[in-house]
Amino acid sequence: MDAYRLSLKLYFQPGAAPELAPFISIFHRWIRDHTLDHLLIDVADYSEVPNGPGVMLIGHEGHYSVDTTDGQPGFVYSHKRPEAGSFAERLRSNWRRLLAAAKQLEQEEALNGSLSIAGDHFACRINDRLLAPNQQETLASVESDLRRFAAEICGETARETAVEIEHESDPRACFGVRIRTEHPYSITALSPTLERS
Amino acid sequence: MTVISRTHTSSETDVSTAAAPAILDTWKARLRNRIPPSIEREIELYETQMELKRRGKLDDKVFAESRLRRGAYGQRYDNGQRQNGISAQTLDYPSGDLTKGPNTLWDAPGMHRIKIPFGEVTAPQMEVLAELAEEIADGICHVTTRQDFQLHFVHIDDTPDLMRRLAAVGITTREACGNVVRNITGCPLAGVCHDESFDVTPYAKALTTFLLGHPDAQDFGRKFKISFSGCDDQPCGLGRMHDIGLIAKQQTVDGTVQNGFKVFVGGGLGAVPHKAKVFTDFLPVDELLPTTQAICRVFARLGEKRNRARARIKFLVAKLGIEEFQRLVQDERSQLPEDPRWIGFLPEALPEAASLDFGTSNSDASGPFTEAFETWRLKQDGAVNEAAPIPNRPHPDAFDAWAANNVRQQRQNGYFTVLLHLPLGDLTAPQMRRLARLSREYAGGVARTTVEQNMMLRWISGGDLIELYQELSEVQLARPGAGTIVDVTSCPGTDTCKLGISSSRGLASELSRQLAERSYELDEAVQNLRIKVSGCFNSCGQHHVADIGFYGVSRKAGNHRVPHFQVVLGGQWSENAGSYGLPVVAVPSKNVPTALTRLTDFYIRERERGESFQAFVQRVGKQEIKTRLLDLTRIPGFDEDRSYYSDWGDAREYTLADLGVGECAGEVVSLADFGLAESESTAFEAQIALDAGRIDDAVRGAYTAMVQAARAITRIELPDLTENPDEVVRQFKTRFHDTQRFHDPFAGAKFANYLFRAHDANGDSVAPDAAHRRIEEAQLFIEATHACNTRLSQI
Repeated sequence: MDAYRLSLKLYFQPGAAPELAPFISIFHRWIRDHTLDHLLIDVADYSEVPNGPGVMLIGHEGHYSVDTTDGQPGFVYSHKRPEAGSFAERLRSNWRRLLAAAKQLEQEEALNGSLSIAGDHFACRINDRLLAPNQQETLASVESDLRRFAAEICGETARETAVEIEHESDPRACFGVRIRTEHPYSITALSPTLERS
Repeated sequence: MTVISRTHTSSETDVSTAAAPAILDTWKARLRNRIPPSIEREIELYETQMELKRRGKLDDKVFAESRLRRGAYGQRYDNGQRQNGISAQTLDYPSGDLTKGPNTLWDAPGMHRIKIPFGEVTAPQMEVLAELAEEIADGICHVTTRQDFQLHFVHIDDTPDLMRRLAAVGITTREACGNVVRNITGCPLAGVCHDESFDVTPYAKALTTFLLGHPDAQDFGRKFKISFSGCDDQPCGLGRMHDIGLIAKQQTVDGTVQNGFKVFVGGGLGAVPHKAKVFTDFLPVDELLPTTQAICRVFARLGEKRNRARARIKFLVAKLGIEEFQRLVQDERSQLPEDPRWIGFLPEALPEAASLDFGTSNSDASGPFTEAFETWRLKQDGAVNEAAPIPNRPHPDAFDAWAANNVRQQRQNGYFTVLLHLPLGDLTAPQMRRLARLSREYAGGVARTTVEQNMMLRWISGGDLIELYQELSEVQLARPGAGTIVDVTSCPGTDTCKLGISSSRGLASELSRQLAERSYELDEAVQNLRIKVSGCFNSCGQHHVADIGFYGVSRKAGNHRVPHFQVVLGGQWSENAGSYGLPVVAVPSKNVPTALTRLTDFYIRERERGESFQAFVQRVGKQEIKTRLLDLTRIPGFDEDRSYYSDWGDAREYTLADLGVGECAGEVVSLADFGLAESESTAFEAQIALDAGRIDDAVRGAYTAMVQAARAITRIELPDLTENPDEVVRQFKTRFHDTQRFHDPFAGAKFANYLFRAHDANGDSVAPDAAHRRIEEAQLFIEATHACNTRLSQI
């Protein structure tokens, strides 16, 4: 799987969707302070669009958003630029980017501790209909990588973890799966397994 | 580990571009058979120019205009500098100093404008727009005030495939920007409206096709905008604010009804708004294309090229006077060689438009349905369900409020239009996909965009309205209040535009939110007002023609800047933008909502019976209104209230330092420069062919490059020069070689002789080393042409 336009989404706990307005000043500050370790460019405010990307932090390599596009609020990282490595390696690098930002968000005073992420499921999309059309063949080609990755993020005991992969197969949509883990993963730290990988 | 895989299958099984079973490596390969060869060639040429630009072999201005003419615009901060609220911050892009235009960095995200002629967009097109928004932009499809779509935060490397994917569904981005004929807009109600003289759709379509890439429309000093309207008194076409405004009209001659257009010319908003002049009261439909062509030729020939601030056709019309302009156009028209396309579209266009005329006061059809209509209905790409009244049965509570403003009965009994109120013109990719599906199920597989940044479904049977409402509600597309005061129009402003002064989207969003909260208590007279916001004086938000318009300005307070908006009153939206408003007073951005409330309250309290807002403003006077808003102009000190010193939706302290040079005006690049850029691309492709061992292609390419360069320089004197190589070489020889004007100061006729030899030898087979030499000669000939062009421009 050569696709590099991966998108990973963490979901907020039900009923814990934060107000969007504070993210505007948070993201502007992140740009100013070089908070994340890649080039951040701008903030795009789409809070007027229901079930949309909310407030976006635009980067050169990818965008972050406080997103409800699939109807459920969460925090997304979408990678945009070509990146070396295998699909599995890209999954890990994008997860690291997402987690670094999520961890930073948890520390933001303006959010008053309201950010509460459900650590038992996440979504992965491949925004590339050329290399990853939304069909069974694509699922078959990435399923083992996704399974291994889901185990890795849950830590040392992950091999005992049950993982459920739901594939939304609308052929017009991007390839996307929702992954549920039996045990929660941490959003404040990389799992030791992932740390070593 | 236990792994369970489940697949949720959607009911939608049609194959889109995304669902093709075989995986091919590139979009170019995947779509090879779905793109017309001429368009694929255009895209390949663009890719070659991108490669030349990367290698530093193409001039910044030439490449900028070239990408602009393909819809690829710059965006704010694309010079690599961004104010962070405290100081300027450098954005260190990986490609470093590589540029895609003057002061525009290669890696900086850009905006891509996608032309949608008269706003008509099909279901497959909507799906591809959604795909592109998700894959290469920010997930949002944005409808503009000229019925285009825009995608934002697009990397230039992604633009060739964007063009291919659009081309495969019949969309070109060619001439979406730059100094060319921009998207031709049209009334979204065309064909279904009660008030129109006739359906303008086929004429808008024909003129779009005719002018796209037309040689007479390539050498303008500025952009050129055309609109079509079906009637004189409604606003849908905004004819009076366009370079050419065409308003459908019928006249009876010897008992026969003729279709034609009232033609306006020289209108425009911008910093110096001009109301259009009447060019003619009646232009028969068979004269539409040639007369427009003649207007383009006069504008290209006499329009200002150096001073871009005065280069729109409105300045030329004002300078010449309408009578002289008419005379020049008529003279030009009389000299045009006949072109079969002028009337070629009419036999097909007229019956199709007429088929929609049934069961109406405009029709002489005896029954509610005609055979012609039935034929039309059944051949649509999606379902047009049989006409029916709205069923009298229980429906959701909010249906009536939605239907009150968003649903309109068509001219054809039993059919309705449904307006989708898009906040700030934005919709998400999933919403767009759902809309595509709904258009297939209910609206013939088609929707239209509107100049108020909404979308419209047409041909909805009354019997389907409740179901459609429910389906739209599921994806938040059943927002009520379309076309009312809560439906605020806005240009992108400081969000993404390099020219933006204040945050028009931020203000529009705030106004819309506050108005929606109290919409149920608003007086009906206020409900129907239009608010339009621009981020600067250029009026992309069309603030001049709103009941209440705002445009961004800035004011200094101590050592700080404060975002403001001018309050513009007196504009008229109806009668095709019948009059333009004027600024009354500048108010700090954060006080604009209060100013709006005061204005509307004042109107409700003091208006006379039936008095329009425009008449009210006229009667009470702008001085009185200004007096009532004057206290709102006071700016609190920086330490007293810092909120005034940042803009809506932007946490940074406000500054003007992010203002850049706009690309709306395009780059003024001569036909010769364009032709030379094309010849360089061809020469480069010849090199690629040689490297790949395609000797014949290489030789042919080298020769073609020389002919293109010769044509480029010759067109300075002979703009209508054909592409026939014999004629190009003959004219070049007569005008440049024989006069020794092409002669190199040291090498004399050496370089011209390369062309003549290649021309004589064209078609001969040559050895690889000779092919290599031919390419070198082509390159030298192109360089000599550049030098000649420079010498000529210095004379």
